[in-house]
Amino acid sequence: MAEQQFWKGLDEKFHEPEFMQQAGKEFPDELPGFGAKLQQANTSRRDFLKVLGFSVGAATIAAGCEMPVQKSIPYLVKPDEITPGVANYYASSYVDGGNYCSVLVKTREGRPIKIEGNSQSQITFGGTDAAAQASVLSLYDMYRPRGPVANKKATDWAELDKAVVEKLQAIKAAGGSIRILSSTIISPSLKAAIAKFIEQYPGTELVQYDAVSYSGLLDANEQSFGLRVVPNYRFEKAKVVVSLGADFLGTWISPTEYAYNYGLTRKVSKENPTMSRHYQVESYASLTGLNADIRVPVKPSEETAAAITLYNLVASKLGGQSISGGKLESAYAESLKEAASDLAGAKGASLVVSGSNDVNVQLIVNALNQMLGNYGTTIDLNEYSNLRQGNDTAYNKLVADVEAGAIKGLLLLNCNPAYNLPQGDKFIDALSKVELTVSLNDKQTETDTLCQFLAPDHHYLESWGDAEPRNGHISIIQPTIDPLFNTRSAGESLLKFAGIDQSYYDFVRENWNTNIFPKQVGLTTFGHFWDRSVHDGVLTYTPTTTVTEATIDVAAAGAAALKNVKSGGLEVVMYEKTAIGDGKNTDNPWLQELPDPVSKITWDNYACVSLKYAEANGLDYTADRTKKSYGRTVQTVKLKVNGAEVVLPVHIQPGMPDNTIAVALGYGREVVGKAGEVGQNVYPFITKYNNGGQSRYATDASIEVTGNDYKLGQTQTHFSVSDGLNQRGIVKTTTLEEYAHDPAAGNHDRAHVKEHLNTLYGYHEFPGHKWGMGIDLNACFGCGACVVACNAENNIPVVGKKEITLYREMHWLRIDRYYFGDVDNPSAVFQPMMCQHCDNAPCENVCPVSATNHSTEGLNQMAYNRCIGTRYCANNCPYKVRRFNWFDYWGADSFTLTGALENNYDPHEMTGDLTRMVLNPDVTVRSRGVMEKCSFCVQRIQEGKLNAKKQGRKLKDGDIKTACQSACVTGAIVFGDVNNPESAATVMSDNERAFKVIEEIHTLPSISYLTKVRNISDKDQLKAVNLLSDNEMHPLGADAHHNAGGHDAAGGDHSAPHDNHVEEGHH
Amino acid sequence: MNVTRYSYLSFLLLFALMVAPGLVRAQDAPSEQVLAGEKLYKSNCASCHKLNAKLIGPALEGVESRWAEQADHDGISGREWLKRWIKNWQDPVNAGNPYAVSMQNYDASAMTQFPALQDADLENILAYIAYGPIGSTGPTGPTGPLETAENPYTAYMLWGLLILLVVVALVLLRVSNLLNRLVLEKAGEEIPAPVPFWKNKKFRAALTLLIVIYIGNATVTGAIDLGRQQGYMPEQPIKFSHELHAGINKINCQYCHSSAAESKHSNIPSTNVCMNCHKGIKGDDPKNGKYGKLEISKIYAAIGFNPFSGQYFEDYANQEKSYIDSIFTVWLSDSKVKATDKDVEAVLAQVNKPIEWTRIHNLPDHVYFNHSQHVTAGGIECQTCHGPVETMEELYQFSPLSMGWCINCHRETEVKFNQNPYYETFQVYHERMKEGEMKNVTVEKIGGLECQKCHY
Repeated sequence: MAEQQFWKGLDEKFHEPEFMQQAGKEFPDELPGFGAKLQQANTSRRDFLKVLGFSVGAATIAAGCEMPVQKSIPYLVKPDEITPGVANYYASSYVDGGNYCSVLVKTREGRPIKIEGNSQSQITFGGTDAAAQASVLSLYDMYRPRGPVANKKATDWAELDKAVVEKLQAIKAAGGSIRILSSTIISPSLKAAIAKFIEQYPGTELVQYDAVSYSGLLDANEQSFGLRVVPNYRFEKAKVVVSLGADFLGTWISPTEYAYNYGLTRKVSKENPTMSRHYQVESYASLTGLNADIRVPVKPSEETAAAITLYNLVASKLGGQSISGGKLESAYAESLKEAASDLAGAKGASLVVSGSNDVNVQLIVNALNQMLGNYGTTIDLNEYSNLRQGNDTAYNKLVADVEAGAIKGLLLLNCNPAYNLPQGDKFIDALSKVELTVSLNDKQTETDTLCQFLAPDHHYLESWGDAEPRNGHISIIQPTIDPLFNTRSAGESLLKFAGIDQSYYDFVRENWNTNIFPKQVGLTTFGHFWDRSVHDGVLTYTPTTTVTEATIDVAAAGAAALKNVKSGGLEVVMYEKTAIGDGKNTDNPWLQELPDPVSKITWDNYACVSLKYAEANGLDYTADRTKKSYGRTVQTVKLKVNGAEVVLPVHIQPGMPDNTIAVALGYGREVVGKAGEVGQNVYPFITKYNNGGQSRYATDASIEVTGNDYKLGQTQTHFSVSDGLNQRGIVKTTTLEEYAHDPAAGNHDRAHVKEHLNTLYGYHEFPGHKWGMGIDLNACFGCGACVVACNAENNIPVVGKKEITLYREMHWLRIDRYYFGDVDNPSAVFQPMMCQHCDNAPCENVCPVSATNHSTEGLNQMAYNRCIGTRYCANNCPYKVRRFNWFDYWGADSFTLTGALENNYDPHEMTGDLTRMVLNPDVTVRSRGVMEKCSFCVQRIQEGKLNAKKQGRKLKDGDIKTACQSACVTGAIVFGDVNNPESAATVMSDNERAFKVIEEIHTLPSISYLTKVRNISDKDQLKAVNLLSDNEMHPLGADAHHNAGGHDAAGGDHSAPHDNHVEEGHH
Repeated sequence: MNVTRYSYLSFLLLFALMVAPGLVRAQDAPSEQVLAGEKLYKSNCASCHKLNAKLIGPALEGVESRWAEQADHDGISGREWLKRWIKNWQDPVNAGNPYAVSMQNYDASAMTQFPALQDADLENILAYIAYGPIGSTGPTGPTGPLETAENPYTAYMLWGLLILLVVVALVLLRVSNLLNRLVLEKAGEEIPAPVPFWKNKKFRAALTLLIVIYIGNATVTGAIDLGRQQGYMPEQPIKFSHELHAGINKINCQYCHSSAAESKHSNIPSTNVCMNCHKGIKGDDPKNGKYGKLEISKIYAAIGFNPFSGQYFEDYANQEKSYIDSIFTVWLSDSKVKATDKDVEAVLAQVNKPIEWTRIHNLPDHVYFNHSQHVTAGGIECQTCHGPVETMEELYQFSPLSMGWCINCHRETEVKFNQNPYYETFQVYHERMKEGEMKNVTVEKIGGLECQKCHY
């Protein structure tokens, strides 16, 4: 068999027998919950009768029971804005350290249940990321701190305040120094509160640090421009983007913002067939890298060389000062030449960003951007970003001071040094000797256990506050629920400690009155201004920033950067995962269960290695050496770096550079909610640059094969439509060049397919609406925000790692990641895949009870109560989008029995009363034994239609947005009525790039995808990638029928086009 | 339940006796003018005035004669001054009418001005006040289609006929047997010993079949009825009479159940809504009512209203319980029907607590039902599903709320196809209607029978 061009994993690429065996099946062979015993058991007639008798008896008893009496308790005095059954939306801001998203919080009967993006925001543009979507679940986290604690004993706030103030006063009297250690603070009011605190205790200093540090970037800008800030990167203006290890679509600074702007340059149309070109130089396979047009894998130690080489190449073209030494020696180095000439050709419309934390590399990048004239065009220093402010030097000094016993009082704000400080043992020991330690964290942390006082902060959905993510862009945080526990705003706590008896709300309001109100123009009264700000959630003003540009000494920077380069041996790079980030939200089950966009692995971190490295070190086989370890069962290795060691499973990641291991940070938490107890902590691997800056890679690591196997909860090849992947049009790609000439490039087979579509069944009539969706593969970067949004909207359960290893994840929406190209340096297409709402649906025909059927609006309906769980539909679904409830995951109607009769399965404590408050009351909680799948958010459709009916008007396009659509920042997903010729969904489905997945089997899907257009010039490379998708349909062998609809009378032999001519006679 | 029934009957009897003199007095049917006046009175005056008792303003019974007798001033009749007062009370006061001046500080809250009322309106209102309350036992509010009970005689006749036929059949069988025997006897053949009918195989077979059918039927019906509770009439924490509120007083359903028009839920009104009226109507009218004072006191106890002062308690949640208890105990000691200790306890138990009504209409969790869809978009009367609520002293579930019942209605009910621009989307249907292929558009035709209209 020929090598496939698109592959989801190596097992698929190399046709591993285990994978091939599994690929055609909806469910794995065994029922692992019961084992082979049950499979082989002889169920006798007597057993059958016994069970029947029991069932009848149980039913009779149940029938004899009376209906439970339900109470209906109205308000005593109903708040004006609450109407039971109608959702309210409040503007607020998701802020977690330097991660920011402007949001609308959907509340029902006073409880927040869903996060939507705020489209008025000029930073996040109505989009959200996975963490913001999942933040509503953290509100109902049963492991949250429940009240103030003094010396491990619960106390009340008055007592705590008294004790803390006493100690603070004592320290002040003795002239001792106090430090407030915090992650980046973007709240002007919190900073004002800290200023009040410092006023009261003059020996206090604020030290900010980020667990994943951006200090190098900030320091470089301070040296170059006199501003220790992150500039505002304007990706929308960049025609050429070169990223040196900055994962700006996944984790780097403000990915939602950048994805939106970058997305604008990636969408193409017939009228405007232009798009940006994106080069990515990186040392691990990041989300951004897989989306890049040209990807250059380098070892982490080579990143500096890559920066210098790129600088020199551009300098040679534009005539700048060059840097000596440090030339990148790599097979992929050629691509840098291309990048340099593209950059030089797009002066003032290009952008170079770097993820390095080495100040010298950042200086070189600054010089490069300066040379390219990007300041003032693609890089704006006036409206600079506040999202990262951490300072490695100050942090190192603080750690040293604590260790030396020079700090008398330490207040911790939203940070966890005991977990994420590398080599922190000494610090941890010293912490207990500090006279006063107060933690103001809103979650339990490792550091909290070392503190004398815990003054827990509210969850952001419970508190007042504000944020200034970018200079001139302020947004509000307003509470959407009364505090669930006895917590208090960190700002209020600081004020109380400073002896100011003011509620934080009053303080924020006052601060806005004095500091923010004067900055705006237009409104004359503060009350009006405040109300409007709270309503809109965001406001902007025009700031003025003084930039003092200095000449950058690139030669010196280059020399210093090269001095920082460690090299040799096995290198380890530490990165952040898109959803988990630095580890603060690691206990959020939704984020843990969201497959990593690149590796598709859930609930774990792991050592990513290249295929070559695995083969060289015997890691490509499982421990018993009979099976390849390409997929889920893998070996574990003991990884030793700088004297620290951890045991990690190995994941062979296409795109990894040679002799390099990449491991995600943020795992291995110890004092954390149950869901966070996964993976290994690799913060100890972090090293320092010569100036003390955090260096997220290490050299001279070693591995030791443990000889043990490990099962990863990897979903990449679950539910594959693998057989015939490349013969059938599942994903299609083309190049910009070809697209410019021919808008249907890469999609020519579609005309042929459409010509031959025919059916024995009748067609449905859609007299009113006909719902359809369009997905632009050019605008989907695979971040996964939509998946979490879908979870929240549709009450999708968390199943946990064990069930995932059994192919039982419940996500209605998955993002299929198809690699293509070189196995050592692939690119990828990300394809959101959910129920296609086929108008000729194979699932509908096979349901014996008609639990799934078609509506007159084109929805493939699923009636849970009718479903008897035969799973025929799932077997017959060619898209593999149906999910079966193997357990009663939400605890809707569990028996509290043990053993085999217990039907409740709740590995991550999602069934507690508190957690269940997150459920959407408009969507049924499915019970065990029924099928479910994407409903096109039918509850939103019904709501939209009803609102139109009540208002006596026609439904407008855009009235109804599905959860995935509204979560997506780039607008990759559009939804609407395709009976309406003007709707966005119709327009998209009429696009020449539009195709439907495996359309030739005549399922008539309601979702159109747009061919992925890539901006690459190397035609040969493309040919290898895209050999078949441009060709005419291939008649398929018997094999190909088998998987996708071969048993379906409608599908039948339609997939072989020539057969259809015969059938046409019937119509 | 029975006790309630009897007390209800005795209440009715008592009520009838009490209102009888009134009915005699107000024998003539109310004129157009009076009816128009009633409407105006209810919308403008009733929130502050009662006819026969002080509310915020004084009782209005005899107001005309009071002004006529006492308020002549400046050559203008007292009655004219009264009309001016109603439109703008400051007018006669400023004019120095001594009666008006004496009335201006009747209550701390000043009277609302009604400049919009025309002279004819004022005449209508006065006519209504003079006439007095209209037929308090009068007709009920709008009624929806009620199920017509089958004529019981038809059933009796059918049963009678059936029994008659069975008897005839048995007689004929007996006759036939007798004749057979006679024939055999005549032929001299041996007569088989008579088999008793319970040993007859055919009989046994038939009986078994009947039993199976009966049990099967009972099982199926029983299973279908699982979870259904048509006729459910639980005891409620407050003896709230829909008949009194919706029937006699004709309060619009959606005045209290306001969210039915905008939400999926039709809410049970929050206690502050009750207080809109019950701030004034305390159930202590010496002429009317029976247990009203006791029941209304529960609302006061819940929300914190002092019936003596007519004010809300300040900082109710933190008031001394014994103080609150004592107020309500004293308040109830003067009930028309003596409040038992248990009654008082029930009121005191309500102090500072929301009222826990027992929910009557329960749909299973997997059903999505939206009131506003039916009330606002569909324009369906509440009574269509909830039955003649305005005649229900005690509320019960009128409809089966079964899926078959829903579906039937969706099959029969037409949507407002030509009235609501929303339906312009259904172009195909509009064309068909134009061409006469289609007569009407029912809910079914716009997909109202599909699973995911109610189950998702």
